[in-house]
Amino acid sequence: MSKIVIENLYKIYNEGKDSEFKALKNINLNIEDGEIVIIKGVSGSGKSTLLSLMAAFSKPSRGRVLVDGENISKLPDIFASKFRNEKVGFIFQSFNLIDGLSVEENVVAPLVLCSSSQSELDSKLKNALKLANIEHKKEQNVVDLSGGEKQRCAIARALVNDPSIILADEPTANLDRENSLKFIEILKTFKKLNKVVVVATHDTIFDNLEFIDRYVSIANGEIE
Amino acid sequence: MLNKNFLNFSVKLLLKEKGDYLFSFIIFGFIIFIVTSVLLISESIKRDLLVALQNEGQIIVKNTKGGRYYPLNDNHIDSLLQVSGVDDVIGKVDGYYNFAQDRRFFKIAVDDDLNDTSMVVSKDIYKILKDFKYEKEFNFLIPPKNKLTLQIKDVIDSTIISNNTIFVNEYIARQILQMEEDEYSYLDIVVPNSDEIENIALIIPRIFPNFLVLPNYEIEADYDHLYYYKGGIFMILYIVALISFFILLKNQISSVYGSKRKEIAILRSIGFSIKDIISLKFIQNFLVTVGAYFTALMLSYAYVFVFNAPLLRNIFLGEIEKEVVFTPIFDLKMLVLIFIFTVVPYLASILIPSWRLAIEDVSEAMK
Amino acid sequence: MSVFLLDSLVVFLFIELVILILNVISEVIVLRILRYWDFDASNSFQYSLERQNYLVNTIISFTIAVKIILFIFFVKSLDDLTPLVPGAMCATGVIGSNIYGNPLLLYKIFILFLLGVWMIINKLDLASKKLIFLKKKYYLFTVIFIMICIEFGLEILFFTNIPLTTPVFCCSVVFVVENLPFDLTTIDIVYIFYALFILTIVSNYYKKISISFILNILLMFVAYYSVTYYFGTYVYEEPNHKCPFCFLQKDYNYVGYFIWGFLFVGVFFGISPYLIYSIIEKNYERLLKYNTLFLSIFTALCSFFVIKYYIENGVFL
Ligand SMILES: Nc1ncnc2c1ncn2[C@@H]1O[C@H](COP(=O)(O)OP(=O)(O)OP(=O)(O)O)[C@@H](O)[C@H]1O
Ligand SMILES: [Mg+2]
Repeated sequence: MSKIVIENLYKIYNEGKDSEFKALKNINLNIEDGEIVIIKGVSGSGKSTLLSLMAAFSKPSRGRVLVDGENISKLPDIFASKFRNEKVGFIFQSFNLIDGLSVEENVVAPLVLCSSSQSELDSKLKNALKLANIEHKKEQNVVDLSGGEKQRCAIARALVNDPSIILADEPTANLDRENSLKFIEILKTFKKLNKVVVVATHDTIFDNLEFIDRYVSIANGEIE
Repeated sequence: MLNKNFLNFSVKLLLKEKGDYLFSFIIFGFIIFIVTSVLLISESIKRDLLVALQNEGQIIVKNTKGGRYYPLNDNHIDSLLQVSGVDDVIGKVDGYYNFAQDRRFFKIAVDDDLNDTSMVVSKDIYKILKDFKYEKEFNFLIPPKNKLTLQIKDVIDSTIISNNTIFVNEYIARQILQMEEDEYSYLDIVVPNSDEIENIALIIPRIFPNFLVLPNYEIEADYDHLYYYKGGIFMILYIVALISFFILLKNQISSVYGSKRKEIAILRSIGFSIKDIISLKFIQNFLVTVGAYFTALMLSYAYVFVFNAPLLRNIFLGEIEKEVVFTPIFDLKMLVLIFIFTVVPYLASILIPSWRLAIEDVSEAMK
Repeated sequence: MSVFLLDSLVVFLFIELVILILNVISEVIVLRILRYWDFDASNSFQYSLERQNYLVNTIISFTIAVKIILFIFFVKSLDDLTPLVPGAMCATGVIGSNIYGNPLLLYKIFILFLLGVWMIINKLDLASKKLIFLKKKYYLFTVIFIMICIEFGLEILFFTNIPLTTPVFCCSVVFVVENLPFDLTTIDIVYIFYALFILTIVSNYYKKISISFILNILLMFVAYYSVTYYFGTYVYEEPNHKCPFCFLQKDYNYVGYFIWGFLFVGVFFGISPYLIYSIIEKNYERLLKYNTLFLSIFTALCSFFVIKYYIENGVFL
């Protein structure tokens, strides 16, 4: 069975009201283990909406998303959160770090929910910082980081719980070309770690990369 | 969910946002400070009265004649000693000396450790005497025209009991109060078995119908009555203040939480559940309130027992007794009472705002 | 003069009122959830109900924590009232000063038991991916809510009816005649107590939840009489001092809070598996081991005072 199965997925905002808007229409998509998928589409096409449903950030209006055979769209909040915490690492366009905390404190945040020992915590933390290549800045407040460093910090946080799925929403939109290329290198690392990676983007830098397994384009909420 | 790492993380977030909680901390601390100070003062006064009472016998009797107090004598003592259950009867001397120059009465009490030429006065009295240039000694005028000069041996702190008192030995006290050798102002009756106090208190008036009989539990109850209702009325007034504070707090929290929506969405996106966010906020507010509670407690102890409660003391003591000091007390029950009174409603009032914050749409993080 | 001016009473009633208001808010939401809940629906209304579910859970958990504190506080306030009630030397006099006192105390314990059961069902509900016990737990809460409202009324009735001028009877009178059921003697009761204790442990061992349920209820009443008429006298070290409240006071190192605390917590774990089973048809017998644990501590504590007295004095009272 596929790692992620998306079946007849609809997302309708403000359903039943005058402002009703169908952001996603009948999406069907299977993603296999270890696959890297790029979702392309113009602004407003529904990329972010799709990712948010895959991460159980929001609930679909119809249809369902199965991860490892489990319908995550119907999970009560406690289980949906647990799913996000354990199986998903999310990388945001605006990095979404918690200002005022250090790199280390930001990266450790997903781990505080389970009662692991200090040494366990430290080793996971160290590992993630190393993978994202941000170890040398670990005590610095995230407000003082450069854009590229911020993203590496966000990546470390996404990796810290060793999730099987990495979702990235416009990861390069706030980066210069050099840092964007670095991100592509990191994608290769993900590939090596055998993670499922889904990147939503309209950045052409992702075009025609040989290690990408699949390109999916989406327009007006439908897969083309 | 309530593990050490989670607690640590909550504290880190709290320290980062301490400015946001400063308002609640200060106002809330102030509220606790006032309520604690008032209760400390009233408890301390009550305690002093009760301690003084414990130094007396289990029953105090006074003689009256024509509705006025009248001295007792050895015959009374002898017949009271006949009552079964009575262990001992001690004649006591006290009374008031009219200090005509300042148109006030000083209470005269007995302290048999003093010799015939010395006396001990309270700070309040010492101040008055000094105003009349009696710095080292004082002349008691005893009609018709005797003069008794006593050295001021010591000046003691004024408590609620001693603030208007001059201590002398029994012989001198009799002279000042013009009492005969076998006259007493009141009698202390010692009753070792507490079950018998009530019964004896009923028997005495049958022997001496003129006697005023005051068993210790009645006096105690009188003190309790006097102070419980003062405390209670104060608490009721205070609830009004508390409620207005919580309305303020709610607005403050809503506005602070409004600016935190993004942060919460971020936490939710990395796996914090609604329950976790509510716990997080609960822990943080608990720490803030407990911090405010202990800070306020320490400040009120200092305010009442070190600085003698300027301003507030006047409500309890009036303007005259300026030098009264409060005896420090530690009453765990009272502290628990204050804790429940203030911290529980505070935490109750943040439950709904915390939940509102926690249910923010996680997709918010993506904007 | 009024008891409502006693500061601990002002605080008690104020906090009870705060809790009541929170519970009214919960109940409004609960009724809405009971009416419209449909787990399989995918509309935003259902999702908003799911979110409100967490508010109600939070409020009720808070209620339970505060109610436990308030229960202890209530008993303590009764002690505070003794100087105001003529004749009362301990809580016995106050609680027995009108007809509402004793029922109120029992009722409060019952509500705490139900809240505890609710808590466990809630835990099981949140642990299921489909919130399968949600409706049942909210029906149960509705019952508890009504009981809490009645409790508040009873409290007001109890406090307003405390006589401040007519003397009341206190423990030295109330418990002096051995008012035991079925004409039993004190020693009979003590034997029955130990027998019930052993039976309960055996029943727990074989995980017979319904038998443990009945035994625990019996045990609670028998334990009450044994402590009041027998074990208590060893705590006071006076054969004629029979009172279930006096040892709550400082003079006896507050040992009463532990004695009654272990008993009630123990009985709670003894009766809740059966209650849980009858509400949600789920076996949760592992609570029975806590029943065994707490009842054993309770029994050991009670026996300790008897043995201690015997060792020190060479005789029984
Ligand atoms: N909460 C909402 N309420 C109503 N409409 C919404 C909401 N969120 C998104 N939309 C609409 O859904 C559509 C898809 O949005 P989405 O964010 O998925 O687009 P996107 O492909 O990620 O675009 P971009 O490249 O700009 O990020 C947009 O037209 C947007 O206006
Ligand atoms: Mg987008």
